[in-house]
Amino acid sequence: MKLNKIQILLFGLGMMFSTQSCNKYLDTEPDNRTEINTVEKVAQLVTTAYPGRDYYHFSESASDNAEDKGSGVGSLEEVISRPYNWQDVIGDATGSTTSYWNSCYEAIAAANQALEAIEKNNLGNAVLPYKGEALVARAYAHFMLVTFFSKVYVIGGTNDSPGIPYVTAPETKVLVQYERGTVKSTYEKIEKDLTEGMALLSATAYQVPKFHFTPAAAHAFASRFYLFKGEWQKVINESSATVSGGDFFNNLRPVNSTYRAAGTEDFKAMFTRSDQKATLLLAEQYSGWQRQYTPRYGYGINLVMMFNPAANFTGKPRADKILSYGVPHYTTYKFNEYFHRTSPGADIGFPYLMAPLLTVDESLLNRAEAYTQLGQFDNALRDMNIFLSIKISNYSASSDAATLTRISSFYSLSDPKQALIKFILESKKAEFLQEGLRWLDIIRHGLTVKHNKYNAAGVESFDELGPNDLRRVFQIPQEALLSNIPLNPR
Amino acid sequence: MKKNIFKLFAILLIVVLASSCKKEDALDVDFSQYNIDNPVANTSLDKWLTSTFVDEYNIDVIYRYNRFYHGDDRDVSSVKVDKIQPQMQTVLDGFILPYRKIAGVAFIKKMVPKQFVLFGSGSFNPDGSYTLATAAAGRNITIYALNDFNVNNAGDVVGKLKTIHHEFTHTLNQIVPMPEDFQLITKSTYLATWTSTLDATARDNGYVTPYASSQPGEDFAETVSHLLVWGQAWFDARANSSTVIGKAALKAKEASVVQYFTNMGIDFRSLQMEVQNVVRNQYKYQQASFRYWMGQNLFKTVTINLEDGIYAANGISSDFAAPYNAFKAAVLAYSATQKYHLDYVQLRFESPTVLTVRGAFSNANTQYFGDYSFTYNVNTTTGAVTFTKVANATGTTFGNGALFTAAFANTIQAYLTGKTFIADWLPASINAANYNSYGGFYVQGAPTNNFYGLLGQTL
Repeated sequence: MKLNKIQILLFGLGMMFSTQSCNKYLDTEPDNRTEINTVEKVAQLVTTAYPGRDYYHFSESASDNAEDKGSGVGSLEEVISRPYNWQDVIGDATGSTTSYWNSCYEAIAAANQALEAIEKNNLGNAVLPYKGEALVARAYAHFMLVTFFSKVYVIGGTNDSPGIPYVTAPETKVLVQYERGTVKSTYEKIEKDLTEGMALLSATAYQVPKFHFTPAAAHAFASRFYLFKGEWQKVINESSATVSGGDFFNNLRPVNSTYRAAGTEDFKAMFTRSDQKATLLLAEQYSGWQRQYTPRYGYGINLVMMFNPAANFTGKPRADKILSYGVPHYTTYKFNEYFHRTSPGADIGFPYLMAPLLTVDESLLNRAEAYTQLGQFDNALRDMNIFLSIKISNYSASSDAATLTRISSFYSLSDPKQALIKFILESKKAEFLQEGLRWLDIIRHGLTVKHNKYNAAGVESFDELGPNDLRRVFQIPQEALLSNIPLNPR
Repeated sequence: MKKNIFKLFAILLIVVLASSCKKEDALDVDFSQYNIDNPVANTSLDKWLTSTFVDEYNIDVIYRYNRFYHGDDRDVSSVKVDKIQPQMQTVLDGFILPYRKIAGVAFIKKMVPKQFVLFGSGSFNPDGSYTLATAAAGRNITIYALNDFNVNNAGDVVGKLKTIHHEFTHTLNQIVPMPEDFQLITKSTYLATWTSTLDATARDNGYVTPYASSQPGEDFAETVSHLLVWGQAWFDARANSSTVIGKAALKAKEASVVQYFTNMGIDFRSLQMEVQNVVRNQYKYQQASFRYWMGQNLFKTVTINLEDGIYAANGISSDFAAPYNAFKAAVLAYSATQKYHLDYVQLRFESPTVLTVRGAFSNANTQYFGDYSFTYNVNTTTGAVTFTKVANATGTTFGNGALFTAAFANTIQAYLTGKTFIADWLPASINAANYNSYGGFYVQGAPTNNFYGLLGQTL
C-alpha cells in the first residue's frame, strides 16, 4: 500500500515535468513503423508474401525419393530422420514442419497487411498488380498448408475433413482464435483468391519477375491447384498459359543440353538462378537443405538407379548430372547456397537457397496428366515426347518416342490410362528429385510409400505408409493449439 | 577375395554351432594360447617401422586392428602381419624415396602423410565395389585389401604402388588445391555412378579409368598415379586408343598435372623417371617394359640420327656406329653432284609384323626417303626381337632405296639381320627430359652392342 502511494506520487511528478512536450512526442510513431501508404511500399511489402522456409526436408524425406543408406552411414538430423520414419517433427528447427507452417502464415500476414493498406488508401490502378499478387500469394501459401497439414482433397468427395485456418485480415491481438474449417471450404477460399488475384496480375510490374506471381507463375500454380481438384480442362488451359505460343520445347529445364554440358559448379550456380526460363517462381528461403551432404536418409544407391538406362522405356538414361559426396551419398547438386554474412570478418551469417517453387516442367507434366484423365492419349503422348526430348541422353525422335504400346509393356500395365499416369508420375519423380514435389503426387494419387529401414545390426526391413494412414498428414505445430486449432489425429 | 571371406565365415559358423552342442562341458581353455590379438610390443617389425618411418619421417604405421580407423558402418578385417613389411617397403621404394630424391627431403618430410593405417580386407561399398584406400585431412592414408597382396607378383606390387600415389595426390590436393582448369577439361561427363561406367566409355570421354570419371578430384589422382606408376607409354597408348576429343582431353589433363607439380617446384618428368626406374628395374613390371609396348605396336617409329646430340651425351656402340657411318658415306659417294646426306635411319613398325627401314637423305634442297622391307618378330616376355629382310615393296620410296641397295645390304641390313636383339629402354643414362622418348635394341648376350633412337607413335 505504502509503495503504491509513492508510485502515484512519482507518476504525478513525472506528469508535471513531461506534459509540455507531450503533444509533439505523441505525434511521432513510437516504433518508427512504416505506413503502407504508397504503391511502392505496397509492392515492397508483397515481396515478402512468400514462404521463407523450405518444405524440402520433410516433404522429400517422407516420400519415396528418400531411402535408408544403412545403420551408422551418414549423418542424422531430426528434421530428416523423423519425417523419413513418418514421425512428427518436434520443435521449430530450420527445415521442420513447424518452421514451414510459420513461414506460410508470415507470408499470409504480409499479404493481408498489403491488402488492408490497399483498402484503406486510395492508391489508384497502379496498385492493382500488387493487389493481385497479394491475393495469389495468399492463396498459394494456404494451398501449400492445406496440402501438407490436412487430408488430401478427394475429387468428387465431401472433403469435410478439417482444413487449415484461412486468414484474411492482419492480426491485431496477441492470440486470435481460428477455425480450421473443412478442406472443401479452404479450397473454395483459395480458388476465390486465386481467380480474383489472377485477373489483376501484370508481367511487367517487377524488376526481377521470377520472385513474384507473374501471370505465368499464377497459371502454373492454378495448374497444380486444379490438378488436385480434378478439373482437367482447367489444368490444360492453365498449363498452356504458362508459356507463350504453347512453346514448351524451348522452355523446359535443358537437362540433356545446357545442364549436361555445364561443369558441376556451373550447373549448381545456374540451376536456381533467376535467368532460367523453366523457373516460373523462385522464393528466397532460409534453409540448410543445400548443406545436407551425407544424410543417412536420402538420395542413395537405390534411388540413383532412376537415372539408369533401364529406368525408362527408351533404354537410354536421363542426362542428369550424377554427383556424390562419396558413395552412397548422392546429390542432384541443384541448390546453390547464398550465404548472408552478418560479420565482415568471420564466416558467420545465414544460409539461404533460392527455391524453384513453380516450373514450366511441372506444368507440362500436369497437362499431360490432365489429357490422360480426359482420355486424350495422343495429346498426352505428344507432351511427354516433348519432355523426353529435353531430358534423355542422345534422344532420337524416331527411336525414342513414347507410344501407348511401349509404355504399357514397359510398366506391364494393360490399361493405357494407368500406364500413362505411371509414366508421367515416374518422370516427375526423377525430374524433381530433392525438390519435394514427389510427396504431392503421393497424396494426390493415394500411392503407398515403402521405406527401407536398417536396424543397428544392419538387417533391412520395410515399412509402408498406406493411402489411409493418418501419418500422411503432417502434424500441425503444438503452438497452434493456443489459437484453438486442433491438431491432426494420430 | 570375397569368396574367401565367406568361406571363413562359414567355417566360423560351423565352429560356433558345433561348440554350442556341448553346453554342459565346462570350458577349460587358456585363452592366451588362442588370442591372436594379444599384442606383442616392440617386435622386429615394430623396430623396423620405427627406424624406417617414425625416426626418419615421423610416420606412424598402424597395423594393429582398431575399428575406429575404418568407421563402424563397415566390416573390415585386420591385416596379416607378414603383409606389412612388404607393403611398407613398397611405400618406401616406390613412393617416398622417389619424392625424396626429386622434390627434396624438406618436401617429403613435410608433405608425407603422418599416419598409414593398414587393413586386410577391402572396405566394401553398398554398390558392391570396395575401397582400396582412402586419404584424409592431408595427414592419413588408410590402405585396405592387403591380405591378398603378393610381394612376388609385380602386378600386385605396382597396383598397390599406384594406389599409394593416388592417395598421396589426394593428400597433396588437400594441401595445395588442384588446378581449376583441370576440373573443366571434361566437366560435362563426370558421373558418380562410375561402377556402371564401361572402361571404353571412360576412355572415349578422356579418362584413364572409369573411377576417374566419377569426379574431378578422383580424376586428378588417377591421372597422376597412372602417369607415374603405369608410365607414359601406358598413358599414351590410352590416349591413342581414345576418340579425338578423348585424346585431346587426356593430353590436356597430362599437361595440367605437369604444371601442378611445376608450380610446387617439382619436375614431374624427373619424378616420373624415378618411379618408373623402380617399376621397370626393381619390380620388373611387364607392362612397363619396352618389349611389352613393342608387342602392343604402340611405338611406330624409332629414328636414329647419329649426329644428334643425344648420342654425344649418351654414347653409341661402335658395332652400330660403324655400319651406320659406312652407309652414310656410301650415300654421299653415290652422286658427286647431288652429294646426298644421310639425315637419319628410321625403323618403321607398320604392323605387328611388318617393318620398313627408311633412310632419309637430302641434297641441298630436298629430302628423299629410301625404303627397304623387313619383317620382325617380338617376344613380349623375353623381349627377343628378330629382323628379317624380305623383298621390297613397290613405290617411289622403294625406288629411291634401290639406289643404295648394295651399300644398305652390306651395312645396316647386315647389322640388323641374323641376330637376336632384346628390346629395352635405352640408353640407361638418358635424362628425365628424354626419358619417355627413347628406346632401342641390344644384341642378346652382348648389351654393349646396341642402338637406340627417338620413339614416335605415328607413322
